[in-house]
Amino acid sequence: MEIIQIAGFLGSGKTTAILSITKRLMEKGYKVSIIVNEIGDIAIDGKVMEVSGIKVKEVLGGCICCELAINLSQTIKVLRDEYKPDIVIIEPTGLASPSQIMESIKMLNKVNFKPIITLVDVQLMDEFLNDEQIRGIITRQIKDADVLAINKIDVVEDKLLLNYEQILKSLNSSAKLIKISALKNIGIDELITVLGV
Amino acid sequence: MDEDHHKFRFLGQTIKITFESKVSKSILEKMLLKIIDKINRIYDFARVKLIFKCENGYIKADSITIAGKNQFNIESNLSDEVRSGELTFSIVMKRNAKSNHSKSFLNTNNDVREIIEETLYHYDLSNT
Repeated sequence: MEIIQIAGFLGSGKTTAILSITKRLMEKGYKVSIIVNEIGDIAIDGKVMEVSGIKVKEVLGGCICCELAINLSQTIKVLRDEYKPDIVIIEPTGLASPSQIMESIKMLNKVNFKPIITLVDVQLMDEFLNDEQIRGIITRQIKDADVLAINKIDVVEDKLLLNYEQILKSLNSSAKLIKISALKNIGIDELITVLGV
Repeated sequence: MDEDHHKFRFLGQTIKITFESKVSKSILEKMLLKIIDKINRIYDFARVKLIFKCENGYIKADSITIAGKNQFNIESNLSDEVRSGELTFSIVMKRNAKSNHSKSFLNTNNDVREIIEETLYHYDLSNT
């Protein structure tokens, strides 16, 4: 069973990207399930995913990178033993630390970990990086990534895109940079190829 | 809990709504965007998600607001008019949020419900 983590700050387009990736993987014949984590005890994204006929498990009321780390491990085990998917996609909260999540589940048996994807929405990047409380969270998510996916490229000017590519490279030079639009299905196949699925 | 998470707080609840008569998808979409707009005007940072779910499908609206800039999205698989459903809201905001509004400040789920009720009234959609 493969584990894919798709991280990113609040509003970066995680749910839309996960739906696009999942539909593509299901077309290829993979059995996919999704774990959705919400910081509050109210689920919204899981409801949308279930409508699309995808097996979804929700972990609510906290973050799986810290206080709910044990719940995440348990949820993966239940999926592995009962539903037996080929691939599990984890959608953390927009505040989560991707490396802390990996740390908490790295001891699980019979699973392979795929590169960590962090989605970045560059439209509000300046505002996020200028915000004292948000800067640290976003910077950590970028630094933790194996793959940085700049999302919503269909609505961003090329000049702006180039500028932010440089900023992202300066924060994490080893990550592979991919440009996508999850909503318009641009770059999704490339993302799947990079994941090695 | 991670130190950074302490800087944020969450509001969320599900409300059952029954309209007096059937309501079109476009009116429901306008209503959801209006609710989001009202909440966004209050804070300098907020992540808002709303979903109206009924037998026929759903409408989901979400936004992120920071320093006076907003991004909105709305999606739906609804085709028919609806009479009733469940409206769920989820808001992540800063714990030490500054209000942009002199009167409004959302501290509790009831404050958010008040905004929703006001918006329903604005569109002449009282919740029976």
